[in-house]
Amino acid sequence: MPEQPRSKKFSPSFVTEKLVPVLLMLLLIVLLTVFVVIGLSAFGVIPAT
Amino acid sequence: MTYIPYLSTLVTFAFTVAVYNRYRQRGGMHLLLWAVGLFFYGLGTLSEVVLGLTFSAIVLKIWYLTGAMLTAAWLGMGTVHLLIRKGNSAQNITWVLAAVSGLAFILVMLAPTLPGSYNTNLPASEQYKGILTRNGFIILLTILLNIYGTLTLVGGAIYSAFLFWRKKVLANRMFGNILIAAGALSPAMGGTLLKAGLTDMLYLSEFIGAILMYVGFVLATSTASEPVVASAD
Repeated sequence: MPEQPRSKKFSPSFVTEKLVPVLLMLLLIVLLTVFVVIGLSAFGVIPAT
Repeated sequence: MTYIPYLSTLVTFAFTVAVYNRYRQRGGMHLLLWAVGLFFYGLGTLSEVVLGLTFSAIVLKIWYLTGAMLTAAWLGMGTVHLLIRKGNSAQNITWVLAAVSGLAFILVMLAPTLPGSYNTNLPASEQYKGILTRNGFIILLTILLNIYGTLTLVGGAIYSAFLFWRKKVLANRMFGNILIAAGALSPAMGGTLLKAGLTDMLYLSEFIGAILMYVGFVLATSTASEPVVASAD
């Protein structure tokens, strides 16, 4: 009997419904912060690396 | 804290070999470019190991070139190849990056150094500004390469994780991409803290970044056969 293919879908849980969106937003905020600092250093507001 | 670059180098070169082996098995320009980026990452942390033992102007230049200029850009280039599948855009950008990297290599190698009071007990990141003389063009290239690398690598991983989350599929790849994004942001944050003059966490952030990205890569490639990054279809 051929093996049944596993579903790629995952079931909703607290982690996937609440935690993951928060993590993604946090990562996006940190990414934007890094760009702001790079921009500030490019314009000489803080010393450039 | 001086042992951290040793650990980072071990983790990063192990990660490089893992990605390169996957490239040999499956092909894919993205894997090859990630391996190149990780090799630069490892060269950067290996330079920190050497600079913790003795000062060498050439090693300091390799450290700056790989760690501050090339690593993020080449890792991000791999992600661009994964996200842009149609046409020759990704290939053309790769040639531009190769040319810019060659220019950066020449400029940094020709940059004068001011020999003097290098302290092997302190991180290179605390001292290089007083030793390696960088002209405005080198600094501009550093900024541009970092913006490109961070945007493509971190942005690409966040975007992919978001697509998996929205489609509610392949949880391992969703979490893997979240870890890759966090890992790639770690050295970027270390550099940001350094720029802001708050604290020098660069060595620790490099180690954390290497671990998170490695775990993320293993998780994202653990059970599935398709590429790590989601398509927008």
